[in-house]
Amino acid sequence: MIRASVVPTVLILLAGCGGADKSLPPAGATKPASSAPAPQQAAAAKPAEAAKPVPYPKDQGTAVVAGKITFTGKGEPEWSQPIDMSTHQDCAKLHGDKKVNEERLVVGANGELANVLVFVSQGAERYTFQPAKEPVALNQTGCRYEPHVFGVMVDQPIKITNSDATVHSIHAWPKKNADFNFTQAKQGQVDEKSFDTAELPVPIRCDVHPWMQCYAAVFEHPWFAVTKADGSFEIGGLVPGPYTLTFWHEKLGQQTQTFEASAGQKAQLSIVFAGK
Amino acid sequence: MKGVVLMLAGLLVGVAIGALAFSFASKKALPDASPSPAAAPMASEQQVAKSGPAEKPAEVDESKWKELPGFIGPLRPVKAPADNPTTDEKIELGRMLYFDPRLSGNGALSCASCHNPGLGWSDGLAKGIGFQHGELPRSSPTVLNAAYYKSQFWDGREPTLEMQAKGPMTAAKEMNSTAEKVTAVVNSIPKYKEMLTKIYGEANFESVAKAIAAFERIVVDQDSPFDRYVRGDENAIGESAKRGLDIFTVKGKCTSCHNGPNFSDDKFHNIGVGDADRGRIEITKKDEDLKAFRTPTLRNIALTAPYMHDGSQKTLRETIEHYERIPKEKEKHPNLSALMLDFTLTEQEKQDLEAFLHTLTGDKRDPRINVIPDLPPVAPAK
Ligand code: HEC
Ligand code: HEC
Repeated sequence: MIRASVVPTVLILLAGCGGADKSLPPAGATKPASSAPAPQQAAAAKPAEAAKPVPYPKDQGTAVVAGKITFTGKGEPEWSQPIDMSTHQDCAKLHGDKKVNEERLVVGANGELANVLVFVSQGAERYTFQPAKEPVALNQTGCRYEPHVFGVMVDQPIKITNSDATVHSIHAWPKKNADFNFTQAKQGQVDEKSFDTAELPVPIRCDVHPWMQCYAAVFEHPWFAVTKADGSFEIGGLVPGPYTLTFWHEKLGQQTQTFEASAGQKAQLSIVFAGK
Repeated sequence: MKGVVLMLAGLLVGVAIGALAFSFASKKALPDASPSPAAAPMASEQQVAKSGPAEKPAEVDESKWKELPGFIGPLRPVKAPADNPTTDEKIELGRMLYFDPRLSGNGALSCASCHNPGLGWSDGLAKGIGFQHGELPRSSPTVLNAAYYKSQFWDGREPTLEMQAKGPMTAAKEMNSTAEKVTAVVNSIPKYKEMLTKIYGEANFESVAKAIAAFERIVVDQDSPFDRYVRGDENAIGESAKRGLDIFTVKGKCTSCHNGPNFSDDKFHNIGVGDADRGRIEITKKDEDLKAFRTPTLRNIALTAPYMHDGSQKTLRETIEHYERIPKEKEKHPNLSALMLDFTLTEQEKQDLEAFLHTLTGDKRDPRINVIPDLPPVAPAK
């Protein structure tokens, strides 16, 4: 719906109100544009609450935050045990004798925790950003989603591919965005979708293969990353200043950490998620 | 006359069930939209138009619910459209109109004739019986939980209950009236005229449809043994039904289409039912919609036999066997949905799946839907 004209308004508003409302979820989420006053009024009505956001000054975005996330303890077995595909031979035959594990908790030999979504939850409201045009890829391969967790900007296209010689029915279950659900019956089929409102998490599932699930997180800003197999993450392009980072894991919950970004420097954080 | 007796008998059953249900209704918390951090099921900041004392959504911790494939699980409160928020007055008015045969061309048929509370808000027939006993082309679906659909009718031709309600009143084969006649009738009945005017500013066909739709939005149930099981009551359903749930979601692949809290993806599929009826293609003119019909809810399915848009499946067992058979004879069904996937169940597995489907019958209803309305008299002739 009239996306193109609405987007810039939303961006400004978000940045204007996002920092002030502590009860908002941390995804940089916001009220729907329709229930919010026009941007000029918002700015005029509450000048004391938040400075007016300015367009992101790209040339000042020289600070970086990076780090490593580890997991100590144990998760539930079903978060990582082998998937029983025997009821779905279309998928089982893609793997032969090889077992494919659940990916709700993916931990390396030394506790490196993958698939943690890391994002700026405070600090981005000072700026307005252009939506990214380059699509984010979501692939269905071997009856798994790749990646298992991903961030995407508001209105950024998500390119969804079925690489399998079987049918998938991809179904997004957002709370704030419009949902989508469509069938990809042909190998190689590609479709594009997007979300127009910040939201975390948006579960995405395959209606046909019950173990297939992944999560999208939708942001107004580009400052997010997902930890790799070695538990590492890096977010660049930060303008110097104070920030809060949130670390979200689908099963282990979330935690936050504040830090100060300095020009041309890389801040290092190490975060531990404790299991049972 | 027979119809009326049947209808009343049905109502009495309905009242009895309603009374039973009400005795524990107050203790049950309704699911609401509280977010759960991980793996949040579908919910939203639903603006539930508050309409009365019965349904007070309480704080519910959805994070404790079982997470099932296709997010099948408890329903959230119905959302009313912004231009027709539900109120007590509208419910009272809509209920009278729903049961009032004077809205039909011959004064014999009301909505309740084909969507009878005592017959699972349907009619127990393969195909409905309409104006002057003519057979209708399709089976009458239940009105229970119709409020949750994103589109109405087997072919989804109307988007809302408001638009839907106008259909049967003016369909020649159904109530066979006209917009003008309905407007004249409600204006001849002082109570309707007064209430419609007070609530909607006008007593006409449009406002009649709106009031009926408002009533239909409380013709829902949000609590079945299955829902209680999802919320954590392990004993709410039996062992066979638990195995059946697994078959439903995994081996039988039923959640490919019957997903979400209302067990419907709100989409259209050709699942190989029926012959002549071309289904949604008549609406969209798209080849992919040949013989495609909207996935119906499976809530209260035990109450609404026979099944499918043509009433061709008499029992749940037959329906299950339909799903086993059709993928094996794909070539006979052009445009069969790609989601009709092959599987074969043992006798025990079929029984288990049936047992599961039986746990979807809601047993908590808004007590206001079980009240037999007194229909208001027409104005005395001048
Ligand atoms: C003569 C029988 C008959 C009468 C009377 C009748 N209906 Fe129906 N109703 C049907 C049939 C048959 C269908 C399915 C038609 C189709 O899908 O093409 C239907 C469909 C519906 C649906 C759609 C449900 C769904 O699953 O999509 C609703 C809601 C409904 N009717 C409400 C009403 C209301 C309200 C009235 C009174 C104003 C009414 N009906 C009167 C037979 C009837
Ligand atoms: C490809 C999508 C799809 C799948 C998979 C599917 N259904 Fe259905 N189901 C439908 C549609 C569409 C209808 C209505 C078809 C019609 O009337 O022509 C329906 C109708 C039904 C009905 C009758 C409902 C009524 O009110 O008449 C039952 C019962 C049912 N399905 C159970 C199941 C079960 C059990 C499974 C798994 C074994 C299943 N379905 C799998 C799409 C599907």
